[in-house]
Amino acid sequence: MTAEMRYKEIASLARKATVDVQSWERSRAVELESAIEAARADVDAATEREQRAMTQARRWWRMAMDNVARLSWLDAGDEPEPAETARASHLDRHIEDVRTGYQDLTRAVQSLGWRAR
Amino acid sequence: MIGRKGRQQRGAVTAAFEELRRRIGLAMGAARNARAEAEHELAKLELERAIVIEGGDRARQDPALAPRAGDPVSQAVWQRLDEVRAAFGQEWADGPERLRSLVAEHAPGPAGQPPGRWLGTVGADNGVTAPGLWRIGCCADGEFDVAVPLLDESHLSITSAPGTRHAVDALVETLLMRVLSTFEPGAVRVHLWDVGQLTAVLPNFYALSRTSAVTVHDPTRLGDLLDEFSGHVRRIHADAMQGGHPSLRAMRQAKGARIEPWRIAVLYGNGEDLEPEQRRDLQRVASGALDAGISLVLVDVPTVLGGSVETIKLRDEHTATCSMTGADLLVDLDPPLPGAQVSAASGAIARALTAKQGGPRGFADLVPAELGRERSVDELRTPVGFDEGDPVEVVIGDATPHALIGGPSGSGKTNFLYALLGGLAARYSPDELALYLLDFKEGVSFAGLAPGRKDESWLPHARLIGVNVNTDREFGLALLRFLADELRRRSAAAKDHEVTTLAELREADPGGNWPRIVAVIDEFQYLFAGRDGVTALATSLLEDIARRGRSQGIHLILASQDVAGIEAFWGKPAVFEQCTLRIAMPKARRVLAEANQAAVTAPRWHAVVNHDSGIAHGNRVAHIPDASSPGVFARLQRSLWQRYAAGHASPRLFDGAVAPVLTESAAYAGLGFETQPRALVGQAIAVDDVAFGVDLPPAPGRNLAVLGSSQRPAVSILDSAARSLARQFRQGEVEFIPCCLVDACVPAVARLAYQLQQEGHKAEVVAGDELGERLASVHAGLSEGSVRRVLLLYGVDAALPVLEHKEPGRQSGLDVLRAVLKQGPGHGVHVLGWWRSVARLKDTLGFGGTEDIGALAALDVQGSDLGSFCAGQVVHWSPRPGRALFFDRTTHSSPEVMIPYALPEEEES
Repeated sequence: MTAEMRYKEIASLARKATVDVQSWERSRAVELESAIEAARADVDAATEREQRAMTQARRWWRMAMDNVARLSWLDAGDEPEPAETARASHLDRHIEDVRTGYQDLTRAVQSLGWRAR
Repeated sequence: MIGRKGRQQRGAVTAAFEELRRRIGLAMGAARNARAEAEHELAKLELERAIVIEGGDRARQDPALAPRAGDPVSQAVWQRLDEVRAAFGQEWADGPERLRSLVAEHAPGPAGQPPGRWLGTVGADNGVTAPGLWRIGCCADGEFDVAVPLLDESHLSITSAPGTRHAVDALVETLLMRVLSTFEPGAVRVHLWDVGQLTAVLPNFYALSRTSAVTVHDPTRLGDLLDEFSGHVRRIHADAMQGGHPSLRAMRQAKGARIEPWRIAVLYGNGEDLEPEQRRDLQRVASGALDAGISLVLVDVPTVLGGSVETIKLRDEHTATCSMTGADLLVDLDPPLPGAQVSAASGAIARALTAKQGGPRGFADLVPAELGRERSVDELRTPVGFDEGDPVEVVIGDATPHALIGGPSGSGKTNFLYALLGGLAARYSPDELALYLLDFKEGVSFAGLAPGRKDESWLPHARLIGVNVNTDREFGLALLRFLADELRRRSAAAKDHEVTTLAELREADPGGNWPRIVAVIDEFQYLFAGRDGVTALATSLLEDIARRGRSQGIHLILASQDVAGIEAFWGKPAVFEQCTLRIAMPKARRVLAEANQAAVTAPRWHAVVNHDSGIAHGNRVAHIPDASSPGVFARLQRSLWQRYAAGHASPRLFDGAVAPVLTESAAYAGLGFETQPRALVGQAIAVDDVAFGVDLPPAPGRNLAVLGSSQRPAVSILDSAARSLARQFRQGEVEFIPCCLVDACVPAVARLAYQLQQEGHKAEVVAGDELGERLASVHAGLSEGSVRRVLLLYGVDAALPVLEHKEPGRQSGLDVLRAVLKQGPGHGVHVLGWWRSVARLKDTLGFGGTEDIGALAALDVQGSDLGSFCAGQVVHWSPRPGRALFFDRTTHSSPEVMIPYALPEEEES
């Protein structure tokens, strides 16, 4: 085998890798189209869920504020801020936790004696 | 004030409130983070899609897509893609290293190393093999070298991009400089042709363009360049095939020597199609060029070439794609060599080349280091001259069995023959090559090859040397007869061994002596000078040898001033057609093909060597070194003689200007006391040393008549006849009766008689006036005694007036002579007489007496007068100095020319 043939044989491996990558890239581009569609839907759903969660949270917060509105000794402070570290996957549990938290607050307010109010 | 319980109740409210706040924050945060994660994932997918659509390599160069530090999306996507790419590139992982090693191995020295290591140094590679690869750049930021094949391997097609002409020039210049710097000067010849430029193609090579290394061709004469190259291709291919090699490379490897220079033609086009004819020519050249050591580099010549072609397409001034690496890989071309350094390097190579060529080569350069190493089984091959320092060979073999050499007087034919014979004799031993050399010129051109007075050495290969044979066309005929006989002998031997060619015969009969025979006939046109039997026979013999000699290793080298003038060959081109090897000396006419004018322009001391029947493409113009000056050939001859003389006899020398000496002849030496004596009368014109003789059995008609007035040869013939006869008889068995009737010959006759007497024979000289009486006594004694008698009569015609005198009642002397002629031979009495005219002989013999002259030697008489003595044949003979026409009716079918021996007094001189 001549040097030229050996050179081309080795160089063809580079070409093969390149061609394979290009081929994968082409098929990946096709795959990505549907993946992106799905991801966009996920984003829409997540956005909607976020908005719904925000609305619910604000409602709970207003209800809580109503509960403590006549308690002059309680400093309500600022509205709650989204927690950075909250795990997206625990959203449902966190919403459920808000409900029980509200109920706990309600019970605590109702448990106040008149002097304590 | 509230109590403890109240504080506890308030604390519970506050805790519940803060807990609720925390939980609402977590819910809000989880919702936001879920959305953010979805957006992140979408961003990654979209970036990945953008990258794979553009292609990873290009995207990496795209600012919008290239990896960005601190961008988690970018980092994540590129990391993933790199992992994919790495997975695909597993096989290629060690590819760059392997390519680097490959290029280092196959592009050694200037072929692959950086210019700083070699630019300016002169190459030393002898050029038997060539590097397989030549570097042009690198790939992937120098990860591996990019190199292309060129010499012996591939053509190159370069396509420029707009504005890249300088880059193309730099690429070509670097490539050529790598080649030129690899090999020793002269091993590579570069031809530059640019459709757009008259000169200044690659101007840094200017210094080389003054040598044979670089030739710049006229842009309007591409056809001439292609013709030249097609000529090289055909010639080199034919040479290689003759030697049984498929290509020049194979021949180089087999012989271990660079036979031809590599040739590289760089053709700059302008991107437009060539004319159809030129395109066809180019394609034809390209298809056979690589096997002939020719590579083409086409720049912007849009032509599809046959054979292996690598392509380089420039994208811009620095990058290109190349067929070696594929269209996907971008090649970073090597930067241009510094112009000043290229000019300096060209100058250095040019000076080295000039120094190497070093003026005219000498005869010694034709002689190999070791004598007699070659075998002639397949062919004879020797350099005869030099072209720009490279040897130019002559091949005598299957394809070129015979040679025709032409050139006017003084053009160097003889010098060429000496160069050829010297080259052959130095390469082949006498067991491989036998020479038969014949020169019809007046002169002694081949005489020095035989032992001489000044130099005892001879050329051991020479078996026969004929000089001064300009009047002895019969000698040329004899040589042709000998060659025809040898041809038959070889054919018969081949038939016995059931083979057809000399090579096969030598294989089948390794013990046999079957050298190739080369017969050189200088000025061979003399052989066909007359319209006679010699010409007719020579023509047919020459045709036969020319046709059949090839297969039996018998080769003719015919040299002439002008072959057109040979009337015998008009309408019979067979001989010339068989002479496919043509050598034209300067100004030679008709030796090469009609349209081939190479000989017209060949300079002095050069020859056009053409192995293709004189067609232009086969031309090689060679400078022929001086081989014929005194002492030049002799030195080689002496070496060969010292080496081979012990096992080889000296050649037979036939010198037409020198009379042979009886006592030195083989025939004389071989004489003994035979029952049937034979009188030697002269030397035959033959390849072997053969004498003509007259057998003298006791039978009617066994007399010899010498005819003509020329005294010296007549005396010589009778002298040699008597001396040779004397050698065959013991004392007393023979009586010589000399009688001289020509006063001028008396001393010679007396000397002969004295010599015969010294040898113990009776040899009394009879005076002219006693001849009649002596004849009568001889006649009277015919029937008695056993002593043979030989009458040696010099100038019988002078005695006729006396012999004719008749007395009443007695026989005249003439009658007695007639009776002796008629009856004597039957009784052992023979007349060896000299008559100075044919008419006088007829007078002597009388009516119907011609039968009594069984043998005659005619001197200065006309052939037309001899018919009656030659069995009624038409005799073609006119007087020739020093020659006689001999006819013996008992042994000859027709008269033959002979050379009388030298007289004793001439022998002594």
